[in-house]
Amino acid sequence: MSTIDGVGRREFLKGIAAMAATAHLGAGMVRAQDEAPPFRFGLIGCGGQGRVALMGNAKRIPGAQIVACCDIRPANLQQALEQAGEGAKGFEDYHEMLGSVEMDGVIVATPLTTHKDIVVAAFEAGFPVFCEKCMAYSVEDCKEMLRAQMKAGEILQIGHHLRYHPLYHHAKAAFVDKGVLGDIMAVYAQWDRNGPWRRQVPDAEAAMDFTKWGFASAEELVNWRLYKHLSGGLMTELGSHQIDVAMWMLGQEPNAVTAVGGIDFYKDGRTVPDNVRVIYEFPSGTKFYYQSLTTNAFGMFGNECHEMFCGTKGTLVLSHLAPDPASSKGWFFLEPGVQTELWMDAAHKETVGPKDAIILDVTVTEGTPIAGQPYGTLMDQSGKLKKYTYQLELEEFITSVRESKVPSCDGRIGMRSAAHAMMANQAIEQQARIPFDEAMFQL
Amino acid sequence: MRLRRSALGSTFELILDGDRDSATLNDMAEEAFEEVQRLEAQLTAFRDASEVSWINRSGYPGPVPVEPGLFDLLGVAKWVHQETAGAFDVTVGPLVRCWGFHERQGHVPSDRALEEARGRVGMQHVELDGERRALRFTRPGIEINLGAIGKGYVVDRVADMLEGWGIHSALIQTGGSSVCALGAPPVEPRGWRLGVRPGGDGGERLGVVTLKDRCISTSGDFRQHFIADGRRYGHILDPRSGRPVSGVRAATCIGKSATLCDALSTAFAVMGPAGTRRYCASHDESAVLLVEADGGGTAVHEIGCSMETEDEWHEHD
Repeated sequence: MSTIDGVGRREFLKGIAAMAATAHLGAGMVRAQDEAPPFRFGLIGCGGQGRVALMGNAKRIPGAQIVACCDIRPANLQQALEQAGEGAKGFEDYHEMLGSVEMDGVIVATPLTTHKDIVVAAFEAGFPVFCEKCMAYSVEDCKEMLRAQMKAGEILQIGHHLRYHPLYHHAKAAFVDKGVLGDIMAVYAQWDRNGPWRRQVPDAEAAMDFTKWGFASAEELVNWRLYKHLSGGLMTELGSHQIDVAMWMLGQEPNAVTAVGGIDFYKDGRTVPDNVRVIYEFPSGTKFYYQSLTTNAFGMFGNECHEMFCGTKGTLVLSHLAPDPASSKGWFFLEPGVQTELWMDAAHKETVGPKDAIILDVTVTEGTPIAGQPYGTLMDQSGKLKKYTYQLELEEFITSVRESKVPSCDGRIGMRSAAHAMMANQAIEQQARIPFDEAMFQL
Repeated sequence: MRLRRSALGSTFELILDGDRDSATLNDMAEEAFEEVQRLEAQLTAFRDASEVSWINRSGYPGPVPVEPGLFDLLGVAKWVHQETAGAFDVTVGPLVRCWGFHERQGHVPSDRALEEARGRVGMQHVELDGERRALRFTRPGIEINLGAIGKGYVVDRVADMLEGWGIHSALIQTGGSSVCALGAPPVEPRGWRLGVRPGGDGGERLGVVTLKDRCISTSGDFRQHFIADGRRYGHILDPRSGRPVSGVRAATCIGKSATLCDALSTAFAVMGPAGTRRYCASHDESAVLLVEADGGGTAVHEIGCSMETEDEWHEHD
């Protein structure tokens, strides 16, 4: 396929690179990896999230190994095996992997509709499971996963990684829970991007048959996020992170949702909205206004996504993630006329737009632990993470498995975030205000 | 179809020709740009979240696992370092800062500052473990900056991606300094005709080359230099002496891989005409144009290739 004398460019470079790298560097390099007790991960779903975000960060954890990889797309599998390192076994069918490899835990990072069957099968095979968010396509699927988990008696953790973010812990502990914001009656959040969200199907896969896995075509598999029967679109893939944060910060769950959205710009055959605007109502009367766009990425706080908690005494803004996953920042804006507290005079400040803001400084306190590490030690004053949230959530998963503890983002939390994300889509479709009924979560 | 975006500190440009419809080409271009952004986020030393920054923070004492593509890129960087006897070195960052080129405010450093910086430079202090795909620095203070090779790598990766989608006619370039010509444009089966501008986009054009399945990369100090005490200091540093290169103003390298061309053009600018001729005599795949300051003007050395005349030039869209 290539023009460098029949050798792919990657291969060509690899050939040159091999001449410079030593075979291995001896005992000094080996020891650091070998001292920590091993934890053997199997990875099902080796796309961007599975391979890059989760496997990449799992490999930063001392002792963690990737012993098996599974993907129905051959190129994904091959890349994952290359990255996993020597000895990792590759599978197309997850049943074979679950039935033949000794593992300490399974990571599931596959298209949304496949989570339920894979997670249930993993529990039936007796493995603890780390499942990417959004937990599942429907509440019924989530419940089936939880029933299988209870039967197996294993850990289920869901990848809402903002629950492992030091800035968010600090915002909750030092601002929201202490009442610094007063009564929070409104929350605004957005995750806006500018682009079609559509991925190219590699020529080599275009004609491949994925029907036995439930995908009508390679195109449908590659772009599963864009099809309603496979995905909740913007709400499950992006919005579920932020509805989860809103529920966590407010300590409440919505009791109704109203929403609008549509396929208004990218009329390219997709069946999920390319824009959504959602209002969740909380029992306290607080409204959560959520937006996700694909046609504008202005992001007034420097990132694609932010959350604004608007209280009677002040406003807290958390801006994070994309495009830089290690970079995040928080500001607190005091309402006019509100008496300042002593600590505020000493805090670092800057001007944001027309306003003066106090910069959230995670390092002022050690804070409660995330994955056993005081949150104040996990980030520097400028908002740079010292460990990625993906690594922290996987560290907690390992500890939870070893010590049989419930992880801080377990399946019950995941189910609720998934349900609220999907209900917003229902509200868009039905053009209605949909009340939530707690009974739907009964197992 | 022609598309441009800001990336890699300059402009990333794609020209796609093919028998696909424009919507498909557009989707491909979009995804290619996404890949460029992803690679930039991985390779830049200027964002704390990048993998390179991660390596720089954790490489000593290390080891750190490295993503396969980046690992190979570092291997190529190490190979070029060895083959050019240290004229190319991706650990040159402390020297770049020491001379103020980092902030585009060049100044002559004190001897002491220069010695301190030189102690923190040297690809020989970077060990690559091919078996474990891991890296470590053998002394503290070493850091990696892929500015002199990364653009070429991104161009190669995008070229691979396009070929994987069955595109065999495309031009991929970053700010004119690193270009890959895939196949030939439909209207010109001999290849893509490119102006050679050592000064970058908008700089003086020295001539034209026709490229088919070849890459071209240029390094020069036309844009970044400063003058102190009547002396001109360019931003290309010789990692071995720790000082800016004098004499050579720019080097252009033509070869099969944009990654290699990017690295070698920098190395050739450091090595000068004699060193470059020696390298080319023992390595078979490079063609080089060197621009040398010569009295008041410039002299152009053509090593292993020749340019076409200006008349033959026409802009291709």
